[in-house]
Formats: sequence, structure tokens, C-alpha cells
Amino acid sequence: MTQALLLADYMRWHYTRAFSSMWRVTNNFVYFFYNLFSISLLLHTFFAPWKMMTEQKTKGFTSLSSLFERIFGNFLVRVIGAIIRFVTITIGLIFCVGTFLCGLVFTIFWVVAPLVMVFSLIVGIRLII
Amino acid sequence: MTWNDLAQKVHKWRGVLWLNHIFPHAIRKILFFISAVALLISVTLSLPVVNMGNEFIYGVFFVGASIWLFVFMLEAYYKSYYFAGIIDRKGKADLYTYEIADILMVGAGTDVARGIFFSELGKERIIRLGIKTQDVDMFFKSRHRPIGSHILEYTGDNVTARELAKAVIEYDAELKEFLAGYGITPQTFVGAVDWVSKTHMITLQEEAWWTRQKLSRIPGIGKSWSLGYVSELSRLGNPLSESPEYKVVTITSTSEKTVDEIESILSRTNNANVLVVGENQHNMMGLVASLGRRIEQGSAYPEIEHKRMYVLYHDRIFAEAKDTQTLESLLHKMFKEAVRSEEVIIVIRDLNGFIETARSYSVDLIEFMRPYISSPLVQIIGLVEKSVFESSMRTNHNILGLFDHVSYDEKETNDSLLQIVEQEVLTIEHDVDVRFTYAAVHVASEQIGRLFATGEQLTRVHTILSELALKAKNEKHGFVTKNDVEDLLHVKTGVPGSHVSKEEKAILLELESLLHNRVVGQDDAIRAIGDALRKKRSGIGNPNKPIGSFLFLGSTGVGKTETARTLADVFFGSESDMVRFDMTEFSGADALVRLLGDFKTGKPGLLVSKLREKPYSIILLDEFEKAHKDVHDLFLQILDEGVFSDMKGEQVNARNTIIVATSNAGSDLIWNLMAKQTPPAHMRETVIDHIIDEAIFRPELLNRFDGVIVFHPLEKSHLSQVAERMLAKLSERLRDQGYHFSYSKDLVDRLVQIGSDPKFGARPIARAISERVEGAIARHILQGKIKTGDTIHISAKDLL
Repeated sequence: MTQALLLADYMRWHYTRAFSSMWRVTNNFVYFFYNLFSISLLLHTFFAPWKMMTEQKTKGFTSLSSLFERIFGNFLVRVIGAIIRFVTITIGLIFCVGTFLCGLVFTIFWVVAPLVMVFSLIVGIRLII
Repeated sequence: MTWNDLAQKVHKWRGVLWLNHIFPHAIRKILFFISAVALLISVTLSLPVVNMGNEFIYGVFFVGASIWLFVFMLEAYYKSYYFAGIIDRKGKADLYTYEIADILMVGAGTDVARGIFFSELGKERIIRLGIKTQDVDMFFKSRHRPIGSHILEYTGDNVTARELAKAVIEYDAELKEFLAGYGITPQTFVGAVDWVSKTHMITLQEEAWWTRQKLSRIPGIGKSWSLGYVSELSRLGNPLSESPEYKVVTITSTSEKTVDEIESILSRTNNANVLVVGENQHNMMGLVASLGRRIEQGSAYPEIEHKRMYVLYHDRIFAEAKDTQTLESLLHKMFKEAVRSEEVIIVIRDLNGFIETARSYSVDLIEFMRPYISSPLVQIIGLVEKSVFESSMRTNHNILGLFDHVSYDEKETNDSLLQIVEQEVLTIEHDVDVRFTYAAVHVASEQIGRLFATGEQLTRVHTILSELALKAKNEKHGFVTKNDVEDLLHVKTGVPGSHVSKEEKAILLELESLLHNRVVGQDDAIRAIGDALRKKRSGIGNPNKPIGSFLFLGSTGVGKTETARTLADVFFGSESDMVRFDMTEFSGADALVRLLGDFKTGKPGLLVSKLREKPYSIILLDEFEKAHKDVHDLFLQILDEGVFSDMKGEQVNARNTIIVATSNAGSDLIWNLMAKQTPPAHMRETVIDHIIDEAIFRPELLNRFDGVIVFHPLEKSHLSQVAERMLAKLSERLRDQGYHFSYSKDLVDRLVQIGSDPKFGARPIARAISERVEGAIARHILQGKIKTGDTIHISAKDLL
């Protein structure tokens, strides 16, 4: 098989199958970050108490102030949970979108990659000589 | 279509294949590394900080970048095709793989077989076949009748390495011959190629870090932030990922199917709870772990994709809850939490045990759980052992309403066992630097399946394979072959492998004379036994039946039991390799239960335990005609198939035994025929007819025996021999006591005269020796007439 045929085969791959492969891998990475930051889980449990530091009901009715303490405490714990989750989700989404954009950029670069390669070689050799 | 046509279909691959040929992966990697280094250095030097940049350095940068990009693109090109065929996302795989294209292209031409042996994985295949590379090269250099790729017509459905190997071996007779010289059957050849292909795929799957499956192995953060959300459950149980079964997931085709079933039940909209019914808790947890893996990798059904699995620990619950009220409130809390989270699947091991213990606290667990688990907000997977399920749960409508059950039948063992052995071998080869041939793997799975009960097979696989690996390593050749496996199993169980050792060959050829050392007369019987055994061990015999089965007919004392004992001694090596059952003890209605075991009391059966203890032995069934009809039916099956099931439904293997049944039936007839000097063949027929007519044994039972042997009554000459042998034994015993013993010939004649009723065989002689001869000697010793070192001489007149 000659080099010319190899070149032709390669070029065909470069501008067809390569794109689908790249797209798939990008997708995988987006999904990876989505999972890494547990985005769906965090959304699901957004207002859950942070690490279940809730106070349980005690038997009977002790006093009004302790009742309010308990209600307020539980509320606060949920707020803390929501804030932390919000931050995490946001970071996660940034990563996801960032990955997607990276993939996009890479795809665009890929289109001109062979040209870049040749160009770079020529420029380099000229500089060396 | 022909091989050539197939090769056309993969012409897309010719680029990568050729690339790998002229510009191998290894060299590319080096170039990649060098150019990256050059880039790094040039960039560093050009930084304003260092400021050593000049035209030369910039030039290096651009050239380096160019080369780096060049190699990068080639690598991407290569990877894109090399990893084709792995599963990324929900099971979408390419039609052809690099391996297939390689085989097809290398084999395209005058010799398709080259495709298998000279493609990139060829070396690996050669190792797995256990052949030397030089021999392979020789074969291909000097062969006469290669099959051209335009000749081979491919008829398989999909194109796999397995199918290609099958096609090649079907067409290529010369190759078949060559392989046969190494003891490799076409089946082994195909199996070996298939295994290499499968292993390669697994390796690829592991290397491909960019697939969704591999990436999702990294756990997400924040999972524990709402862990407190199910605090009760986390206290009383553990997340599945922390259970030991989760770390070691063995995947077989049977288990995958079962996990599919579990998944679809869990995805229902109500009563989505599963009862897994199987034999072994550990194996069933393996299924659950498999499901857990699917969820983790995102390849589970969407309905359960987000679920978290927890394993409940009974002891923790009952440690806390000491009475009905506490138990109920604890369970309520746990379930309420679980429902609230909406995403928990609770795994309960030994569900029945749990129910029972709860019942002792007056809590009806099923009814208790009903309001919680009717909807899929909380789901249960309960593990139940088959025997328990059959006896208590199958008809319980309450349970059946809430749960659907799935049977995990590990008895489809052969295939799954082979897969398990294959996987285990890979793990071991990873740790110990040895290689197993495929034939070794195949025979190991076959024999372990044959020799051991399903419950213990998995542990046996592990220990046996490890031993083999270490042995090969210590002997420094690093290969485990089929013979190694068989030898080890022989040592462990006493059951020999298929290759017959020199000693056994000698025994088999001399069997008749060896038996005659102890058994007098009965030439027909002994010859029949010899023939049957030689047949079986030379490979012609049916491996799915006992080694041999015989029915010995004849009157008492003619040598039936003695023959069986001698056979045990000669063939199996020791008289203790005989298991004797007196069938008069098994004549009642409870006979079968005593042999197979009692389900209700859990008592194991006599036959079952003896066989498991000594799988390689003689089973002697004395007075077989007296056994209960059920016992006859049982042996009908054993004689036919060599296996049967015990009370638990587990298989018991009798294929490595010789079964000998004895019977006095028709002995009168035999004696009459003897007196009339009937020829042996005619006598046998008459006796058999008589037995059938008298309904002593059914014809189909008689047919199952490899030989129905009529033992003749002993003639006078035989009786003399018997008497002399018994006297010889007596002599030995006396010698042990320090006396010498001699006797005159008339003693023998006298003894024969006494025991002269052939109806009673040789027993009267034995009794005569015991009572009269030994009695006389004893009296003499006690009277002081004989002292130690003296010679005792007995003649006929000394007999009492």
C-alpha cells in the first residue's frame, strides 16, 4: 500500500469519522463533570437539611422558646444546605459548559489542523536555517 | 460471501493497519515524547523571564509543534480504529474491529490460516494454544494445501474472531492435522481464538479512559451531603459500594440476563420489588453488585438510574430493637426516611430470616412494609435461598403480591463456570507471571464442574488455579497445560484425568490376572469386567455414565462380594475405596429418603454423603433385589446418566464410580442348570428370562447394566483352591503370632468334602476352617502342646 493511499485514507478519516469520535468524547467529558458534581442529585435534594443536622421532636411540649429554637434551627440548616449546593451546582455547570466550549474550539481547530501542521513546519525550518 | 469479499468490507482499516506496520505505535510514542519535550524547552527559553529566545529557538518551537501535531493526529487516527468495537454508552459497538480487519487482511491471499497466526494477536493465540512459534513457522513454510481467500465461503451471521477461526478450521484440513498433532481439537482451537479475542476486548475497554463507563467510575462529590437524609438507613445498613461483593463483580451471561430481569422489575410503576431466588447468598449478592455497577456507570434503566442502593444488616436492627414497639418505631423511621428521599433501594439478605426474626417480635414484616413498598418510592431487593422459597414463600400470596421473583439458576454451570474460570485465570496471570493454555482452562472448568458440587465450585476454582500457577512459576517454565490441570485434580480427588497413566494402563491390560489372584474361577465375570473398564478408560466409553455397572447373579458364597472388593483393591488402589450398601436395610418406604436425604430434617442422605466423600470408588449394592422399588428407580437413573439430585436439588456425580449390584435371585435355577452342564451363554439367557418372568428386576433396569454376570457355583477344583487360599491366610496370621503352619493334602480334601454343598458356596469351608482347624490349634496351644517357634502340622485326622 503506498503512502499516497494512506494519505487519502487518512484525510477521509480526518474529515469524517474523526468528528463523530471527538463529539462522543466531548459528550463523555461533559457527562463526567455533570456526574462529578452530582448536579442532578443536588438539584433533587436542594432544600434538604445539611447533613441531616436537624433536631428531632422531643416528647411533650417543653416551652415555646425551645419550639421556636427547633424550628428556626432546622430552617437554618436547610438554608446552609441550599447555599452550598447552589455553589457546587454552579461550579459544576461552569465545568460542563467549559468542556463543551473546549470541544467546540478543538473541533474548529481540527478542521484546519493539517494546514497548521504544514505551516508550522515551514515556518520553523525557515527560522532555523 | 468469500473471505476476499469480507476483506473488501474492511478496506477502511487498511490505512491504520499499514500505518502500524511502517510506523509502529512504540516509535510514535517516542516521537511524541521527544517533540513535547522540545516544545516545552523552547517555550521556556522564550519566556520573557528567561529571555534566551532567538530565531533558532523559535524555529525549534514551530518544528516541534508541527511534529507533535503530526504524531497526535496519527495517534488519534490509530486509536479511532484500534478501539472500535468497545462499548461506549449504551452498548453501541462498531460492526468490525481492528482485530477482525487485521485477520482478514493478513489472511487475504493464498493462505487464510495466516490471518489467524500472523496478525498482531497471532503470538498471543499461539501461546494460548500451547504451541511453539518455531513449529508454527515451519508449518506455514512447508505446507502444501493452503486455502486461498477466494475459496473460503463465509457463512456466519456476524464476523467475529470465533466465527473466522471456525471457518478456517473447517476448510483447512492440513491445519486440522497439524493441530491434532498437539492434541488440539477444532473446538479447542476455536475456543482459544475466541478467548484471546474476548481478553483483548477487555483490555481495550480498560485502556480506553475516555469512555463514559470508565469516567463514571470516579465518584461524584456531594453524595454524602444529603447522606444524613437517610440517617437511619445508613446506621442500620451500608451503601452497596462498601460491600465486599461490589469490589469483585464476576460477569457471566447467565448473571447478566438475571440482572436484566431484576432491572425491569425494579422499573415498574408499582410493587416494583424483587425476590432473588438462588442457591448461594454470596453469588446472589454478586448479582446485586452487578446492578449497582450498572447504576454507577449510568447504563441502568432511566427509572432507576438515580437510585442509591443500601444493604440492610439485621443484626444492627435487632441489637437496637429489643421489643415490639422499638422495632416498629425503628422500622417506621427508616422507611419514612427512605420514602422521603425517593431514591433508595434496600437490599435485604436472607429475607426469610429477617421475616422470621421479626415475627418473633410479633411484627409481620411483609404487612408492615406494604404501605411503603407498594409504590416505587422505596424498593426492596430480597435474597432468598431456593429451598426456603420453595417451602414457605411460593404459595404466600401476601409476599407474591408485593414482590416478583427472579430465579438465579447457577446450575447452567458449564458455560458460566467456563467464563468464571476464564476470568479467574486472567486475574491470576496478572499476579503471577505465568500463562495458561486454553486447553488447560477448558479442561479445568469441565472437570471442576464434574467433580465438585455447585456450592463449592467457585472456591475450588480459585484454589486450584492458584496452585497451578505457583507450581508453574516454581518450575520456572511459566506455562500451565492441560496435563498439569488433570494431574493436580487427580492428586486432589483421586479421579484420574482423561490421559491414562502408565500404571493404570498396566493395570487395565492385566486386570483379569490381577483379579484372579484373589478370586477363584468366574472367568466369564472377570473377563466382562475387564472389557468394560478397558473400553471406558480408552476413551470409547460414555463419559456421561458411571465407569461401569454390573449385576452379579449367583448363589451365596461364590465370590460376588469378593470380586467387588478385589476390583476396588486392584483398580482404585484400596479395598477402602468401596462403599457398601446392604439393600435389605433399604427395603422399606423410607429407603429413598435415607439414601438421598431428608428435606425436612436436613439430614443428608447416605448415598449422597458417601459419594461426595469418595467420588472415585466402587459402589456395592448387596442383595439388590431386596431394595424398595423407589431405590430401583433411582439407580435406573444413575446407571443411565451417572448423576442424580439430592434432597436440596443439588447434583451428585456418580460418573467416576463402578456400580456393582449383587443378587441371589435365580440361584436355584443356576445350580440346576450347572448340574445339567448347560453352556454359559445359554445359562445366562435362561437365568435372565427367569428373573424377568418372576418380576424380580424390570427389563429396563437389567438393560442399563453394562454387564449382567452369572457367577457359577464352585466346582470341586475351585473349592480346593479356595480352601488352600484360606489356609494360606491362616498361615499368615499364625506366622504373625510366631508359629509356623503346615498341613497335609488330605486336610484340603477333607475340608472340601465338608463344604461340599455347592449351594452354599465356599462359606462352609471358611466355617470349617474357623471352627475345626483353628479350634484344634487353639486347644493345642492352650494345652501347652505347642510353643512359639514350633511348627504346627494339621492333617485330616486332627480336625475336630
